[in-house]
Amino acid sequence: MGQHAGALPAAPRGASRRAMARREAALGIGMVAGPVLGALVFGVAPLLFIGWYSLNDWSPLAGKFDFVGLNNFVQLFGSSTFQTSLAVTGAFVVGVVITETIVALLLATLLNRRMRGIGLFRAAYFAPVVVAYVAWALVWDYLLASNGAVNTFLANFGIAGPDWLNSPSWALFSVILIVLFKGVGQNMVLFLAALQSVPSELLEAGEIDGASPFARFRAITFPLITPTVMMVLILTTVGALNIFVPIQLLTHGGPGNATNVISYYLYEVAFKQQEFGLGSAIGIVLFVIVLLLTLGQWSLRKRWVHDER
Amino acid sequence: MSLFTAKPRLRRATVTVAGLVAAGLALSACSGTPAEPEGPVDLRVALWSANEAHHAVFNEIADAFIAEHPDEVSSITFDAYPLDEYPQALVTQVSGGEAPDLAWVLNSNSREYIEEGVLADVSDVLEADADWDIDDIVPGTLDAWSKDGGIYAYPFSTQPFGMYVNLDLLAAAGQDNPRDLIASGNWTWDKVTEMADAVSKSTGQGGVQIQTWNIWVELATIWDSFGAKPWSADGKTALFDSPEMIEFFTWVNQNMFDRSAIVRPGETFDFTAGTAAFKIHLLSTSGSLDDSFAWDFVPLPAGPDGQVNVMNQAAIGVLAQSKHPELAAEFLDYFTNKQNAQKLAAFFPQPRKSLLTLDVISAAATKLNDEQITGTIIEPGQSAVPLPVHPHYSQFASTVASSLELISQPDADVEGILHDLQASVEQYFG
Amino acid sequence: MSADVITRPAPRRSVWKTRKFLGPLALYLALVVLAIPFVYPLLWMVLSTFKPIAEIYGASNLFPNQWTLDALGKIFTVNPLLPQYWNSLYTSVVITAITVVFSAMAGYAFARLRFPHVNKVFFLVLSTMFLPVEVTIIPIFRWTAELGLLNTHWPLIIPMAFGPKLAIAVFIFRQFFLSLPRELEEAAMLDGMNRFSIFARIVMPLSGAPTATVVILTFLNAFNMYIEPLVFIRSPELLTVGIGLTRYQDQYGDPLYNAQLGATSLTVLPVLLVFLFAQRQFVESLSRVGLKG
Repeated sequence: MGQHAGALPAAPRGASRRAMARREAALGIGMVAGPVLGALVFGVAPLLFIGWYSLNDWSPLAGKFDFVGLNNFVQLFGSSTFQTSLAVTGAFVVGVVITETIVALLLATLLNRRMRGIGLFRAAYFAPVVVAYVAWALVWDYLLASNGAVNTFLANFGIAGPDWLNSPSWALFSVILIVLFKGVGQNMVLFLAALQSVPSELLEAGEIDGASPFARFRAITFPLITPTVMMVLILTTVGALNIFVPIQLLTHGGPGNATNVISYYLYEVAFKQQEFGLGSAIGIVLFVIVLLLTLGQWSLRKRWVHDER
Repeated sequence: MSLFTAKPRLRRATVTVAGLVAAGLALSACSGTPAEPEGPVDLRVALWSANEAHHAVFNEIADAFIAEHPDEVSSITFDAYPLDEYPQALVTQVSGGEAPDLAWVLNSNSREYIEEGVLADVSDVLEADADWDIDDIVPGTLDAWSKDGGIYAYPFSTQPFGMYVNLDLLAAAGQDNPRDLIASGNWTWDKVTEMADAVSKSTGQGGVQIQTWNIWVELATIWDSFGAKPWSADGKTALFDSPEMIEFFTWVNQNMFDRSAIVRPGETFDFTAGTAAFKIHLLSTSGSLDDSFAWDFVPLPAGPDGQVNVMNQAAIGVLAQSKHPELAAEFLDYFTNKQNAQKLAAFFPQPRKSLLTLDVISAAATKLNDEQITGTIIEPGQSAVPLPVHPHYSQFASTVASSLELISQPDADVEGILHDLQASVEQYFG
Repeated sequence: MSADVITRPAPRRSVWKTRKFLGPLALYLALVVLAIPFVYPLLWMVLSTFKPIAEIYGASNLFPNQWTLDALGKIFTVNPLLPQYWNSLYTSVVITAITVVFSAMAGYAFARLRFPHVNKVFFLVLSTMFLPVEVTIIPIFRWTAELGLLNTHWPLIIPMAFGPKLAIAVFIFRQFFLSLPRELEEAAMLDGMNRFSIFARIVMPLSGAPTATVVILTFLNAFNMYIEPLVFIRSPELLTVGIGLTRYQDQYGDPLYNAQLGATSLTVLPVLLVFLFAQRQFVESLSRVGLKG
């Protein structure tokens, strides 16, 4: 804590130093006031409120707000839809995080060289990142229809493509693909920046020693980019837990509950079924999941990440 | 900033902010109930039609009402929302304290809106008005919109479902004309699915198009003729896994996958585009059909349990939360009185004896011929049963929809899915 | 497959010669194939605007067989796209402006200034960083309703400008300021410049990089806003463009595929054009997210 930093021992002009420290403190407090108030009002307070709401049976339509203790949580964990939703969320997050990380790393490795036109490819892979999510999802809705462009293309090779978004076995996979192509460019440029910071002398030394490209990657490159890998893992995990637009637009959580991830399930319970208490309970669960995953990855980062300092 | 000038403590800051929020809420609660404004007010009507012709007539009626009440009403706005999002848009506004003054209400939401007090009782105003003429209303048509002698909405669209048939596709597949089948008493679902399958096999187009699983209550147009009911008449017992329901959905699944009689989800065959042979819908669909293919509009086919005519209603009511409930009720009364109902009848069959005539309905559905209007709308309308309604409909509607998505998959375990569905919605019954 | 192959003077084995030639070729081929799922959807979207509805499904042709301008007329009449576009644009600009100003100040204070409990306060802000919007939307909906601000742009702007995304921006700025050498500021302090002037006149002019990162990140986020307008806004002309794109139906409620795709293209193209012209800035800015400086 820095509160004693201004009080250097036996300084000749102690009083003025103290005044300066006070002024600095006041300025600091003023400068952080916006984000701090924001965090309190739009972070901490909503959490406290949904904590309270989650203990109530609250149906705004019927004008009902009754304290029910932990009933909402009991109902939630007993509901097969919620259990499915947790499983789907897990599969979705793992699927997105693994594919996005690996594909991003692959693309970054391919692009990490001086070649004519490489910038064009980088722009191509990155373009979906700047495209509005709604637009991206809508286009894939057309492309993945059972007689859409993807299946029409596959039919040229005699492959009868599935009904991607309406099939319980393909819907989640399809959504993961849509999310992957939308977001992987962001991770790719993070990796690209990290790869470019790997000293080329090290790699050349490895090559002279006869190490295969893969061995060089594993022994030299990867350890050096672990901070970025961790960052990508955290950002992608949080982003995946936040997923809403493609689900709401393309599958509404279906078919069945095949794509009913928890963030969409919350919205449906709260705003479609008008059960705000139950929705708040889902919000608490979602918050706990985000918290545990972030803390988990953070502590993993401390142990695993190579530190240059 | 004053939060931190003394000895700042996180806990105190949190408390203070919570206090600020609470104060803000309290303030807004005070300002939320201003004195009733003296001047003329704006009324807002929520609806799901964006049809310009509809809006032209609504505005015409509204302008006349404003002209009669210049001191009370300055404007009446008709806010349209897409049908898919309509119920949710409406309840979000109601729960946010931003309810419109009047709203269209879907058939399926009738019971819950009445039970939960969303709609206001307007019986006093309607019954007292000779121009509204309650004796003109067809008996029974207000049942779904009444409770304990109160009337909560006027079903401005009351009409039986019929079956649209693409005659060109049937002819191309060498199938009979439905009129002949009706005449010979063979107009059954067995026959329809057989014809649909034949169309699909010989033309590559779709058979029976079922609108969407989201409005699954409309499947009553088929399952009623199988003797299936989703719940008991009193709404206390769910019947999703009754033998009749299992039989019905097994039949649906087989007709989707063992043969291709029913359009599968994700296939884009569409009756209006001329690529599906059959579609159950209301008379309004005829408006969007052009002459690009020959079609007919016939009564619903018979199922194992006989032929059942099914009625769809859409109603308009006054929101209990309206800031001007009396005025809104007065406008409802005016909007739907005998004279204006005649204008509404240009689009929607009215539940009024005086307007259930060939002439009036022909004017509304210019593309339907007399045989279609009499045989598919007026006559079946006499015996039509309403769609199922339930006071907790929106709480289990999406659960049912997701189960139906699973049923419309190849090799679905229909019975198992329906048992699961029954188990997960039972809490909303009884 | 290493790129270094190209620049290396003496390959040891003859195989390397073929690799020298085939390697880049194979690489280009791989890069092109990999680009398909990223680029094809965007091309298809734009070109489908000019297709008759029947060609949109069941056909794999990218270019229309039959060009038509049918859809263009409907884009602005079926749904008020222009006002919606303006709403998205101005709310995003306001949110971005608020975010940059407040996060730069706070990032600097957290990096350089000493005040009581600075670390705890920073941790408080940081801890809200990953809070999903779905978690907080119920209370915010409630408060907005209580304040009578539903169906206005306030609940779109304020919670996003001051919510978790602001915390991320604060973090980005703080990391950057920590990496700046202190000498410059110390010299200015000796000249008697006060801390805020140092921040505003000396540090900020050097902070183009994190500012670009925060601006691009925040703007894209704000422009992508979806669940908030879905919950808070009811009037079509107050909606943002994302929701507006889902409102392309004819008067019978049937979807207008080509008008929707046309509107979607119009939404995407400006951002895409800006991106193509400022590609390097975009990519470099977003490659700094969460990294040091």
